[in-house]
Amino acid sequence: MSHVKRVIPSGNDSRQNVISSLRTTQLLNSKAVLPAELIATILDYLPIPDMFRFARTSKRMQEMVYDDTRWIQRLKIMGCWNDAEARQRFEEAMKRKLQAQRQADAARKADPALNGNAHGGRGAGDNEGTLSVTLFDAGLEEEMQRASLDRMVRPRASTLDRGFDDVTMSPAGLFRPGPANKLDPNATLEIFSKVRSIRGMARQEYGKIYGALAPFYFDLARSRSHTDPILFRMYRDPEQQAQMLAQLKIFAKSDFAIGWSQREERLETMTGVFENAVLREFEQGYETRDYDGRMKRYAHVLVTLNGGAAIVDTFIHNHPLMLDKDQLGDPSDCLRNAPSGQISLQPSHEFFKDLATKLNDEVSVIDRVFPPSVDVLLPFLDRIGDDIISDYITAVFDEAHDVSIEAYLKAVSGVFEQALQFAITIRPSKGSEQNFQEEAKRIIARCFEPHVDLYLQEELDFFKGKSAAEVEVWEKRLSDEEQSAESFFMSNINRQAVKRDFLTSFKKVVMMPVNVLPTMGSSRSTAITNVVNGDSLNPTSRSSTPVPGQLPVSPGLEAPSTELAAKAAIMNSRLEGIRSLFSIEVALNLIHTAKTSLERAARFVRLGGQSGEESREQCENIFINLLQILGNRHIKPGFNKAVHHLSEYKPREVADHSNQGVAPLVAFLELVNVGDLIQQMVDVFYLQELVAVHLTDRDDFLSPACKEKKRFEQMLDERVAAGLNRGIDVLMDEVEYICGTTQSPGDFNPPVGPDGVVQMSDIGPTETAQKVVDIVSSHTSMLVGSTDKNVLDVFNQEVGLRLFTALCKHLKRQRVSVDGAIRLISDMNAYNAYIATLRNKSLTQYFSALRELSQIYLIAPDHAKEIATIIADSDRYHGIFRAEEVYEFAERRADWFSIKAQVERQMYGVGCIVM
Amino acid sequence: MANDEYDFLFKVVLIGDSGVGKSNLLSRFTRNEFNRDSKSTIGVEFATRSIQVDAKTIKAQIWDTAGQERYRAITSAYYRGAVGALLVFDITRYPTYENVTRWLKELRDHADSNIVIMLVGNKSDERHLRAVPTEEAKQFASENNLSFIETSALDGSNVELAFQNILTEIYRIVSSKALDQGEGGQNVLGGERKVLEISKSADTEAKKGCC
Repeated sequence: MSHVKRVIPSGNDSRQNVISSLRTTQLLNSKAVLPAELIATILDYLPIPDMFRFARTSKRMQEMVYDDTRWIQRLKIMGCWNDAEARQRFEEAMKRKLQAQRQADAARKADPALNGNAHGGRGAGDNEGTLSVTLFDAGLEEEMQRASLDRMVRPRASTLDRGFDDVTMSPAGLFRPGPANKLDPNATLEIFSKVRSIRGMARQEYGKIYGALAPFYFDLARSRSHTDPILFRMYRDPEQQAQMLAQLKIFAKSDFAIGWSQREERLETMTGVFENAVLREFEQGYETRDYDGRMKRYAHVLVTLNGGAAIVDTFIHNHPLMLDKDQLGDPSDCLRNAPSGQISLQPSHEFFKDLATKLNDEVSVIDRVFPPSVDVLLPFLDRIGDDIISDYITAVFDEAHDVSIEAYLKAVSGVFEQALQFAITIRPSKGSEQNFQEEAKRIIARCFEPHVDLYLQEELDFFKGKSAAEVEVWEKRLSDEEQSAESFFMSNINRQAVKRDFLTSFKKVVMMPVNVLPTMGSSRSTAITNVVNGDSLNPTSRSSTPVPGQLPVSPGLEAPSTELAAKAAIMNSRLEGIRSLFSIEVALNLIHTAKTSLERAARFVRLGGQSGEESREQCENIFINLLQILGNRHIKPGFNKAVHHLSEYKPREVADHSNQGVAPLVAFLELVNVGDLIQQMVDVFYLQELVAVHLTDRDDFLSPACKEKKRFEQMLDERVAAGLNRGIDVLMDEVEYICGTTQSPGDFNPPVGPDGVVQMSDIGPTETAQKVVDIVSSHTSMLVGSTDKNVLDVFNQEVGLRLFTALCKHLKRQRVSVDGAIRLISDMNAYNAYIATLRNKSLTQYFSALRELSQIYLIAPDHAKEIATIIADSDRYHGIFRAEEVYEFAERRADWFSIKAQVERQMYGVGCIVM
Repeated sequence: MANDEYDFLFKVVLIGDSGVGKSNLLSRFTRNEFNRDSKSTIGVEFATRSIQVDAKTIKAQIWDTAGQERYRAITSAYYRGAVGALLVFDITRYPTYENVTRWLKELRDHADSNIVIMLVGNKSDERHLRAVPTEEAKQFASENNLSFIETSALDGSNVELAFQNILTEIYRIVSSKALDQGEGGQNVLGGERKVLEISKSADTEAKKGCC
């Protein structure tokens, strides 16, 4: 600026001096070279009146000063420029213009038609017309704009100048001499709301604001005391004064000129003085509880002034709730009123109830005092959360922790639930946002955040300890009973039906929420309905609900859990035999403990954020621990023991074979059943407690809970497989034992009676065959429905093959006569019929071959030739027996030695002769 | 097998081409079962059932033989001691009827000459597929001195009757022969022995005649 000023006078001097004139030229050049950007930047720092003086210097400068963007920027800073509005206006203008153009077009088109000018000139004319119209329009627009600029600018510029100058003069007549700019004081109060966003008109709009507010602004900046400024003299109402001060504050933002900081500071001080005065008034009103009078008035004043943060603070700070918070409740009540080592949540419930009632009263006061545009309740709640709730819960938790861990765990989750309930029951005030409930919950959540970490850790430790203790107790009891005779129980009940029945009741119990809030009990439902109805927490309805005693066990669970307990007892008695291995009761207890812990911890998942994530992880950890304890400490040893029992079993050493079935194998198979049942229980538990409530994603193969569950199932499968392997050995030992002990030599080789007639009893399978089929089928059928189908198939296949081998071995020890062959064939048919029920194709082939083989004994000795043919016909045996093997079997014929020569001749000799 | 009390035990064989329904006739008679997709019999299957004739309990020991050609070699063992034979053919397949002659020859070769033979046309439920006219079969039966009946193991018609008839017929012959030989009073529990005795004597006779 000064540079430019200096140049111009030196230019004037140059008239007398050629050299200096030359220099001037240079200087002028350098001036012209000063980049437009710099000038534009400098312009930003000019006071408004100076800007217009500068604009008068040249056309270029004027253009620069008048540049619309400069003014839009100022409007934007004050927050009264709306791009969308501007665009809309612009488009509307364009549309109007287009319409006008189209009309003009239509008129032009009509013209040549009327003139009858029909010789090709039409298109050209049209074109020309359009073109000219466009040109004309553009020109017109420009001209209009220029005209309007001229019209608007000139008087405005002078007004502004004068306005600025006049500020020091008398405040009455100071500005707006022209009738167009005359604004009455009331209009000035809402000057910002009248601002329009029009492209090309930003300067004029800013002019209006400047004209209205600048005088007050600069006057205020210059005044010394708060009584001085014309603002306070012109507006008497505190509301209006607040409004003006608020507007000036906004206006101050567009003041870039030198000294702006001092001016703004001055404005701030003035506002502060004003605010303090109003606050004083408000406090006085507060003391006299003059809600609708002074309090309301000054609250509105301050809100108009600066959003009312100060008054909200004052309100909250001076609130009686804050001043006498001790009256609400004593945290130690929770422990004092409960039996030792327990915690009663009734006092804390009362505490939250009182708080909610008081707060809801307060909501109506807030609604009366404050305008709806200010949210007083939320900051208020914030403070309550920080000062009252946090203090209270910290005290409760600390004391509970000192008493016992279990009390602590119950206290944390219970109080958390109560607090959330409390957050829900608070009625939003008029000024509250839509998401008030969430905000309220967030505040509660924040109060609990410091406790969550410790809580989760304790919860997991508690669960670990408790379940380990459970297993230990059981193990101890078991070792005490070790000496008592083991009675194995073979159940003839329909296993699948019983299991399904058991699982349904289990499911029922799992789905039932574990009530960790003993004192809230049934009243929770009423609370929820209250919320639905939009009612406040109603103390009368609460107190009318029966308060269940301080039960350590949640009362809501009673009905179905007893049902389940009964079923578990029945199951247990049925599974008497495997009592020494593992217990379904223990598994049930473990799962139950896990469920309680899990549900407590799961409440905190709602906290969201990091704590929520942590509690979710902790829930998974609880589940993982459950599986580890259940699997490694309970089920695995049980299986190992059962397998051990199996390996110990030697049929020949067992005296009593009257029992149906091989005792340790039966026990083991029952074990497989129970294992399967437990696994299904775990599965139901997993789905219900973790997947259904989104604690874990079942498709997420990386989730630790999912992995642990798989590992658990694998462990079970592997144990089952290992046991089955042993089981087959044992079963076959038993089969061989039966074969060896019960098959009498007369079975297949009936003695010839005294009259030379064979003593043959009735046909049909022998006792041995029946026993073998019974024992094998009873054991294989025990697995149906309790193991994986693939495992079952493999097991059956193995059993079948081993049975086949055993039978072949057995057959080679027998001597079979032609008459006895009928019995033998009957036996083989019986085995075959049993194998057919297994529906295993390769097994069926083996036993068919055995059946075919047994036919050779039926052939009369005088048909030795045919015996040879059948021995050699390997097709019959599906390739399962080779001719040599069949020959071996044929040797078991009772009359072998008498026919041997014939058969062998037929087999080997005849061929040679033919050769 | 449930009651071991019986007056006579007769061995009856079921013969005929493969697939004519011998096994299903047997299962219908002894267990009242029918299995639409039963597999072809391997070797021989046994079953028993007792019926009452003239206040006497007759136990039938029925041998269901395989009709397949490859078992021809062992069939001779089946006929030993058989007092009755049900020669089954399929009325919907003419070749099975034609083979009846061959089965008759086999019976003559291997079985007791006094054996009671009944010609059974099975699958009478499949009327629409009939290939062997009833009259023709009846004619053939009377020519060869056989009784004839048409049955259906599927719907059970005449199955009971067929067995009843043949067992009654056997009983008549046996009891009359026993009377002839003056042993009628000793129809003790070991009835089978009696049967075998009779057939044995017949067998030796047949053998003599044969060789």
